[in-house]
Amino acid sequence: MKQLVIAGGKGGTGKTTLATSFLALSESGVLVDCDVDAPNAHLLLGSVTDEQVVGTVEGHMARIDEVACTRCGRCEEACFFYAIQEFRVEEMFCRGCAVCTMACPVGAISMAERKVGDVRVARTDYGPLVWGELAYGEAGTGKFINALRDVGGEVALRESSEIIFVDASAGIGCPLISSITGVDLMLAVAEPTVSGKSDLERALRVARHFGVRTLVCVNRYDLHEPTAKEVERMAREVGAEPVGRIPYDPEVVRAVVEGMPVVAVSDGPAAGAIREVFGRVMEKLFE
Amino acid sequence: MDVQKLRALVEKVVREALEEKGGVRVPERKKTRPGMVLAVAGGKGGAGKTTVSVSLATSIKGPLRFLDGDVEEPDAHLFLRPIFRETVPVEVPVPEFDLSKCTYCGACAEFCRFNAIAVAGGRLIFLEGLCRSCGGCAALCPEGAISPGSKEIGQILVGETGDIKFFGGRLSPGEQMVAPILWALAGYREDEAINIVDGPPGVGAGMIEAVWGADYCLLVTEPTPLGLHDLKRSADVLGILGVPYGVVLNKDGMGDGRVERFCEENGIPILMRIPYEERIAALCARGIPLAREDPKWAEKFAELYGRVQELVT
Repeated sequence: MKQLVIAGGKGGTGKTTLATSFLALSESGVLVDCDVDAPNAHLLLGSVTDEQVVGTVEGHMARIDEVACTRCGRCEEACFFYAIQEFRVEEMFCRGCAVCTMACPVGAISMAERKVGDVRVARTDYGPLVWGELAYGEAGTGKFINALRDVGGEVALRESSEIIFVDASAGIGCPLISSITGVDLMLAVAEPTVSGKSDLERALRVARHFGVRTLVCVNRYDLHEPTAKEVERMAREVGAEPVGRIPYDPEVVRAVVEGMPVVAVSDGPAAGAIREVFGRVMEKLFE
Repeated sequence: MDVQKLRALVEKVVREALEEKGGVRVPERKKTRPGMVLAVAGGKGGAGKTTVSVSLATSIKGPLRFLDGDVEEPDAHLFLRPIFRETVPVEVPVPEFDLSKCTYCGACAEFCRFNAIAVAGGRLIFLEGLCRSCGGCAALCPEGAISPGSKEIGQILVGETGDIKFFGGRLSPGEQMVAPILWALAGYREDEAINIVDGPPGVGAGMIEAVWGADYCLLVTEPTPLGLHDLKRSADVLGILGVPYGVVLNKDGMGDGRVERFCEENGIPILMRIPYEERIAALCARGIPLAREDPKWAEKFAELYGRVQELVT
């Protein structure tokens, strides 16, 4: 079983468009949507059925007993995360470190469980999907992504799938790092803009830092070909091989509005290019 | 473990560890009362947050500070092209272990909720990548074997472009804690100035800290089911934080009408529409702010800011 992560640094370059199309093109794949802040894959895979919550990831947060609290303010001073304001714990900022429980001189603070997110599994028209939405805030991102990927592995075993597609979020921080650890290959989706190039470079540095082999494809390359070439040149320089270009094609937006993978509803130039990129990526993945 | 002793220690050690000490610059999150803090967010990546924030910056008259809060993928400098004069490191405390004092009792490992410390068989392993700098281990070590060291996780690049003062937050590749960089960045918000904060995609810690304390937030989105899905989550977060918001609909005409319907049904104002045009996309490719290229758009962005001012007061 192989794991391919689709990432790229910048948002909106087409990661989910490619990930859902790859699932549709693969004979037996599982898609794990690790963009837990803003999961979108379930909106692009036709009908989603048999949805089940197969697990819940729990985290911890501080809880102040208002009756016992003497309003001394030591917890607020001790909290690194500015999560205590006016003797109240602000859930979105609490990371569950429990330092406040130590700082409180009257034992008024305890740790309570809280939900980080539900792990969902469903059938779609194009293969099984694992996803989940993270509670607002940062606490538990890595843990939640690991849980999603574990479940993805179980589903893949049960379904005898050959490949797990991991759809990563934008950015280069904790969510990306949790999404790329231990994968066989990363496909970075870039766009030919100054930001696209800069963001890709940062994502490639993270991939290299963690020793992940990486391929690159440039989406909507014809919006600005000189920049597309620069993006590919930069990618080569840092050891990421370009494996194709996808042209701008209004059919992609039509597919998004219809809620389908573009390759399932279009024979246009973008769908054709995605098929070619898929073929090359599979070759590299299984060589 | 003597609980009373631990609590007495925490006062001293955690505070010392978390405050400025011996070169450890722990950013402080400050609540300021500036003239205006206008944040730009929106959930979906690639929706046009930077397009909007840099065009606003070049269109508004008055003392202006631009704060790039997309610390994972900072891009605004590629459009505004500031001259950077200073790089201020952002450091957080990490424990330093004096193994000559360590008795391998395992109290630190037991306390650490992030599983960053493992103690077994007379060995201690510290996994720095998992550490979240809470300071708990240093506070509770009964032998005083843990002291606060420091680690650089990113920088604030300080510069200017024309009349705009530019501050760019940056997370070092491989690092994971974005919040302290945004605390440091918020320290550059200034009274008497218009502060524009360009936020990251998503609704995670980076977005929450970027919009924290803002007077208003523009949510930039696109008219697709994905744009709507992520817009709803952003609106939820702003609701919890109590930050008022309005929508900028980018790539207008490209998808369908569901974002507009959602805004109408929920009384969210659509403050600006930017049509989908190849010309605009090409400007993005080359790193040129829309409002700088086209005076008509400069007027529209100045009007947009005028409307935000009305809504805030």
